[in-house]
Formats: sequence, structure tokens, C-alpha cells
Amino acid sequence: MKLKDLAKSKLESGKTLKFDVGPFSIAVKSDFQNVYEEIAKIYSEFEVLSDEHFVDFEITLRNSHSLIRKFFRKQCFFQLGDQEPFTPIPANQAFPMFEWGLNWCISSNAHQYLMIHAAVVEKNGICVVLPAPPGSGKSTLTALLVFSGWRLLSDELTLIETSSGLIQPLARPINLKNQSISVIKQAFPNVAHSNIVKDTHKGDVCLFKAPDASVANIDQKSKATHIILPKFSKNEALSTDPMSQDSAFFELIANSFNYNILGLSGFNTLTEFIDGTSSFNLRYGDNKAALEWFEALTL
Amino acid sequence: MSNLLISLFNNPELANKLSMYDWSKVVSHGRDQNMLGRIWWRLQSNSVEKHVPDRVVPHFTSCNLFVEQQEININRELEDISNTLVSRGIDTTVLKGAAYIAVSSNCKHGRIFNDIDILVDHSKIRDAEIALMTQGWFHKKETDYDKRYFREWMHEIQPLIHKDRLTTIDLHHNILPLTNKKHFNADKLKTIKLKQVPLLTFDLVDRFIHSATHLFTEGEFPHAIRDITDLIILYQELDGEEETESAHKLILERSKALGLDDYVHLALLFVLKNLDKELEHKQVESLVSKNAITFYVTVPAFKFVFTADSIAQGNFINNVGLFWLYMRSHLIKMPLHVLIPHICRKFIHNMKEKFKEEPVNGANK
Repeated sequence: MKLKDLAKSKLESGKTLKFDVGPFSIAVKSDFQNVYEEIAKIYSEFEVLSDEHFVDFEITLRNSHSLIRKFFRKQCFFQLGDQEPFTPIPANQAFPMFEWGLNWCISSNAHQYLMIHAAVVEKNGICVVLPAPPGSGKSTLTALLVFSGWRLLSDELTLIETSSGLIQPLARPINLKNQSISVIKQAFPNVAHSNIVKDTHKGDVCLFKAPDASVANIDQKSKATHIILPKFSKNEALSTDPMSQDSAFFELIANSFNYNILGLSGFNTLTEFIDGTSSFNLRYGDNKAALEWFEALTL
Repeated sequence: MSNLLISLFNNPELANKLSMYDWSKVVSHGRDQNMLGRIWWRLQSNSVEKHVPDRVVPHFTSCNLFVEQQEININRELEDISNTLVSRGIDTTVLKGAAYIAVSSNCKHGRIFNDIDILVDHSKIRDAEIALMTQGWFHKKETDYDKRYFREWMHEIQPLIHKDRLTTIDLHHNILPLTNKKHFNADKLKTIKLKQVPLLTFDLVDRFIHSATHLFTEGEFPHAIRDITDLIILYQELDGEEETESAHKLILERSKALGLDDYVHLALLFVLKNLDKELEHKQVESLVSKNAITFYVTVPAFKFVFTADSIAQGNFINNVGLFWLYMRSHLIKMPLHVLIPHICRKFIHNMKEKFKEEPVNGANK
């Protein structure tokens, strides 16, 4: 059964929601009704799990224990098991908190993967990894590509299987910020998205639902063919600059979450991963031109 | 409240009886309690890891990857510390987690920790602090109150954090706070030399006593199961080493000599219970039962702490017990005329923090 088929009564605050997100199974329990509503909407194509099923991460989004803070300036606390890794944030940010928290759960525990802070998209066997620091336009570009027919493997966390060097998709929602939200909403008015949450520590944020086809193919792993470092700067003409394999290698290490933990296996995984890929720096100021450039890769 | 973690540690054969639901709980509580790596070690050394479902294995192996890397890092840090301190004539004793790695105790298995604890003579504390600063370890910004709190009352100074590697050193000059009435000069403790670096660590008996004293004067227990299993392992290592004397006798004698028997008796009570050593357990129980508060309040409260997978899920009685342990730890730490102003101050400080502007959170990279 998928999350969209779940009865309304299962989506009330305080209930535990269990579902699969790619290779992970999670359980979410929340004091905030809107978390259930957003999950049902944005994760609608993901599989619901039975009560007895194994769970990798037991997540709770709870109210403050303090009687005053339950009503006055309500807060949301994120818990993995009994741990509270973050300071609480205002309660209206509970759903983005769930997304950020789940990123943290995966990136600090799943060392069966080499994890890179990067987006991954694929079309016709061309699998492009987009590692980039925040502010480079990576998520906007990813949204443009996947809502124009590319498959989404990942928006934030690239999981590289250490055993095979292949990328394991997650197909979670795309996290857009500030001006990008209206750009994507205008370009793709039919794509489902969460409510816009204003004034978070990252500015305004909005989560866009991954295309159904990407979720349906979530078990299909891919081999990377290109590593592209995008950089959006207004009014700049599109230009590319080939990158040597060793610079790409260090770029991936700089963006990795757990290269330091994996030791030799991390090195071996990354050398195999990068072998046979082409790497570029991409500067662009116009989304349409960038889309065309990516399309040309697949021809 | 269940006690999956301690049961699985004591009896790894249990692994082939667990349902997928149980495994979820083992992973979730094991992660909270810092027990994943240790349970995996117990399963492996009893050759029952094949009973762990494929879906669950990565949680254990991921934790082990982390622990292996930690071991490499700690060994390197110890070399650095020894170069910094020993070359300046400061004898340095390595304590707890880093010591378990250095002597390759079984306690190192699956043990994730944040701080490297070292002990130097009280007269050398300033020299040691300055020497570490020259190598890049600095204090975080601190208030004058914190400074005074550590230097006048505690057994350690504020943590020193390395500017590049972010490793933290807790520099101790004693094993008990100076305000604890049982404190004594730490040079009474017996040390042995480490093989790989010119640093010291406590011998087996005092290693147990130090760990026991630490745990049974605590008031908060974020990883109680990990800590009690530390003691079980240390006890077994001593028992395996000594051929003539039984471990519990050695520990009892030594703790009496050091005046730490109140804490150590409690530790032995729980260790012997877990090891099914009925006879010795009875003997220690009769020692503990001499004090009514200890026997009827403290012991039941600890019993909950050392069996529950999650102390966050206790009932009303359990919570009263936890509150007692919290109060007890403060009463042990400080006399009332120091404690009451300290608690008031902390309370006001925490209230201020609570109602400050919403802080920036670090949820995402």
C-alpha cells in the first residue's frame, strides 16, 4: 500500500507512520498534524510498512515538555530514538525539520555508503552528479531537470554503494529556497509542493514532490557518467570548463559526509566511482540554456 | 520498558529468537545507548552474528567503521599528548575510553566517546595546560563563573579543544571533585606503563574502581547500559588475569583502602548480578543492605537505570528514582552550602537560555 492510499484516520497527530524511503525504513511520530498532511502529500507514492516491519530510524517530532512553550511560541523538537541532536525550532517549521533531520539520520549512520552532498539526475543512461556548496543553484537546476523528464535519484544525499560503486536512489522531495520557489512554481505549475515555510534559518523553504516515475524506479541503481559543478550567476553566458579527474576527486571528498570514516574502502569506492566519468565546471545565467546543454549530453 | 540490550549482551544466543520488531528496538536503543558496536562484538565473539537479519547488519558494521577510525585517531592523539607533556617532565595517566584503546581492553569494542581523559599531578596542571595550548588545544569561551567552578571545586579543568582536529581533552588532577568529602590525592592510585607510548594508565583493579566510582556518583545516564557493560568487561578481565585471588575480593579490599567502598559496592552488586555470581553477589548485597536509603531507594533506582533500554520510558516510581539519583549525585559532589547557590545560579541561567531568541539550528549541512 502507498501513503496516498492510507485512510485519514491513520494520519492523525500521535500516530506512528511507517514507510520506506529507498533503502531505508522509517517510522515517524509527530505532535504536529501538518507533518502528516505534508508527508501524505509529498511522499504519496512511497510504500507504507506494517507495524512488525524493521525500522532503521525511529523519528519523533514533538512539542516542548514545558507547559508554557506548548502554547506560547510553540517549538518543535526532533528526536531520533531518545537523542535530540538539534536545538528546537519554531513549530511551524516541523515538516522541513523532518526533512533536515532525516538527512542527518542517514548521513551520520549509513556508512555502508560513501555519502556525498550532491544531487543526481539521469536520462537515457546519462547519470549526472552535481556536487556543489549551498547557493550554487544546485537544487534549482535539479528541479528544472527532473520536472523536464530527467529521473531524480537524489537532491541532497548521494549514496554510493561501497560494494559496487553504484548510486542508490532516494528520490526524496527537492528542497528549494527563496526566489527558486517561485521560479519552479511558475515553470511547472502542476507539480505538488509543500506549504512555503517562511523565515527558517535557510530563508523561505518549500519541498517539491519527486516525479512519480523517479519514485517507481527507486530500486534501480545507476553508474555515474558525468560530474558537473554548477554555478549560477545572473546574466552570465553559459560556459563550461573541463575538470581533471583528480580535481573532481578532491571536489567529491570536500563534499563528502563520511570519507574520513570509511578509510581505505572510501578511497577505493571513490576511485572506482570516478573512473570513466567526465567532469566539468558549468557556469550559466539562463536556465533554458542550461537545460539545453544537459539535453545535449544525452544525444 | 524492556531490557533487550543487556539481555543480548549477557546472552548473545538470544539473537536467533528476535523478531524484526525486536531488532528495530535493538538498533534504536542500541544507537541511543552507544551499544551497537559492543553488541556486534559480543555476537561475533560468540559466533552468532549469522542470526542477525541482513537488513539489520549495516547498523552494526557502520558503527564499527566509526569505531575503527576512532581507534586510529586516538592512538595518534596519544602520541601527540605524550610528545607534548612527557617531554616537559609531566607524568600523564590516560583514563577511560582512550585508556581502553591504549591497553586494548575489550571495553574498546564499540565504544564511541568524545573526550580524551588524562590525569596529571595537581601541581603540574598549569604546566600541562600551557603545554597543550602550545600544540593547539584551547578552551572554549567561558564565563568567570565556569572558570571558578572548575578550578576551585572540580577534579578537572574546562575541556581543551584542538583548533584543527577538534579533539577534546579533559585534563584532570583528581578522580573525584575536590568538594567530594571522599576525595584523596590521585597519586594513591596504582599505574602501569603503556607499551606504545611513554604514558601511564591505572592497573586493572584501580581501572575498575575508577570506572565504578565515576558511574556510581553520576546523576544522569545517557548510556547507562554501555557503562555497566564496561564494568562487567573490566571485572572479567581482572578475573581472567588473577589466578590466586578472586576479582571481587581484590576489588573489595582495594576500595576499602581508598575509602571508595560505598560506590564500588554498588558497582559490584550490579556486575556480579549480571555475571550470575550468586555467592559473591549475596556477600556484597549484605554489605550494601547496611544502609537503608542505599538499599531501598538507591539500589532500586539504579536497577531501573541498568536494565531499561530507554530510561525515557519509565513509570512514575522510576522517575522518582531517577530524580533521587540526580539529587544524590549533587549531594555527593558538593556540600550543601556550595550546592544550593550553584543550583540556583544554574536554574536562572538555564531559564534565560530557554527564553532567548530562537537559536539557529544546525540541522542541515
